[in-house]
Amino acid sequence: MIKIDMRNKQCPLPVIETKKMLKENLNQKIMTVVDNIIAVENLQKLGKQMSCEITVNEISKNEYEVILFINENSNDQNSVEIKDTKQKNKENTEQNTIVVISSEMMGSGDELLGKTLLKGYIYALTQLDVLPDYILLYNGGVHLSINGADTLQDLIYLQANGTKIASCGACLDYYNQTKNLGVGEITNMYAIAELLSKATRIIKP
Amino acid sequence: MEDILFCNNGGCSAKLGPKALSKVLSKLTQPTDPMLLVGTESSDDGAVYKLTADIAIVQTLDFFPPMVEDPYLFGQIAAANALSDIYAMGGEVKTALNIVCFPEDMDLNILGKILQGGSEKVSEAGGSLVGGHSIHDASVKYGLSVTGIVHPDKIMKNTGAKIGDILILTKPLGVGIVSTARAMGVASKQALDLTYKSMSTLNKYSSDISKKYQVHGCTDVTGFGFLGHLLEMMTDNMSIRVKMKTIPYIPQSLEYSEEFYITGAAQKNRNFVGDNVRFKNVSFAQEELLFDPQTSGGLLIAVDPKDAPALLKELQQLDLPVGIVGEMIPRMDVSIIVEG
Repeated sequence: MIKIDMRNKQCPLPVIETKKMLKENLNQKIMTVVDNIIAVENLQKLGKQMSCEITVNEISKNEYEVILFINENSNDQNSVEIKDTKQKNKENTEQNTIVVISSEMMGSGDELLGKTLLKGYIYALTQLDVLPDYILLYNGGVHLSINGADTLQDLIYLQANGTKIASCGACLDYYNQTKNLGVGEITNMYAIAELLSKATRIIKP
Repeated sequence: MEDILFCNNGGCSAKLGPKALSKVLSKLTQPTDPMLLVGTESSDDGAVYKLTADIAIVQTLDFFPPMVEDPYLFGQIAAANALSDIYAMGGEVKTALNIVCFPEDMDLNILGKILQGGSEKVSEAGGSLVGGHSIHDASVKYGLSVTGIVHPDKIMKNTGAKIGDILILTKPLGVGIVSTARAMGVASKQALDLTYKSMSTLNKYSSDISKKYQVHGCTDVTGFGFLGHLLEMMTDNMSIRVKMKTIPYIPQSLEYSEEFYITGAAQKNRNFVGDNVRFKNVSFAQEELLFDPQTSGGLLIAVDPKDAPALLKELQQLDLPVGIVGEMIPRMDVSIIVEG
């Protein structure tokens, strides 16, 4: 183990020196002694970025030992864990969840508020751990999937992450927006009826 | 001329941590004068006191140790930084007083240069420098106490933003990181040039432009970093969706951040913001940039979405990196969501 005393050193010296030592001394533990908790936290960030094993010993309020060690096996362990979570997410989504958007507004009341809320809802969907399987858009709802819509980027994100987006063809035609479809596919009433019949869960915000 | 006593933790990274500060301040007796329009109950940049139906005074002060070696430049930056709070409240500068700490045995020409830099910025702001107070101290510190005026109905509060508003930042982030890299001798001339230009530029110009548009809220980004000050703009019924891609920053600062030229002050800011922020596809270096304490940083302006493109276009004429940083949305699980 290599010990470096970084007490009374201004930031960023403790992290810069520790980083240098870690790079120059592979397979060795580096113990950095610092005099405040903020320096400890900065060293922990360094350790995390360099995939180190991190141990912190508080000797006193003015003395902390931070031991960093690059363990070559630790990376593999992390990636196994990530795989596990992904697998679980997939199992959960085996059910068929469909979000139905049938107007430009969320709820009834003020039109501007309704539009803002619906936009917020589509964005909130992107933040969920488990994304819906389908988003069906019909009647006024097709205004969300056309070019220039402020919801377009979020729908594109959802599609890129596995949600299927389908807009009603007759509705796009009625609003003269068929050429402007910006995301997903055009669907028909038969397909809509079939999807809704088979859905295990239908969400209508 | 001897060298100015250079302080590694100068500029706004010398500020006390926001967490520690709010704990102490909450114990003080709160003022109750009804003419006090903006006081201590909010995290606003200056205090506003109503004198008549048309005029309120705005008061603020700021001073800190040097973050650059050139005393004249330090004076300019410290003054631009102190004056900025008036602009963040939507006001105009009227008078200013010098605040000086200076070692007795140091060359007085250095002090002269600092005061010259400061005085020129006060003049540029359209204000009058009318005196000050100096004490001898172990290290150099300089700043201003500033008084401005504002119409009581046109005060720019931190928390005035509405859902749907677009947020624009008028200066690049990363000046703290570049200053740290400079102290370690690794900052490039290009990075330093932009950093110095940004820190010494008055927020007067972006404030003047913004007054022509539907602006609902405003603050300036200083010691608590972009996310710390952004959090002060948030209310309980809204969240902000921050887009990393359009945030203005000093290009080299990201590289220095990757190399860990970061400060303890940034870590204090990270602790303060805590779990009020959620990052998505944002690198560690980018996160650090968002927590980086800024000296004389830009204005963070919440503008009506209809006015945002025109305001942005006009701000871009000012010749500093500027950009749309996010959008106010209905409340989500956390106040701030940053997307890479």
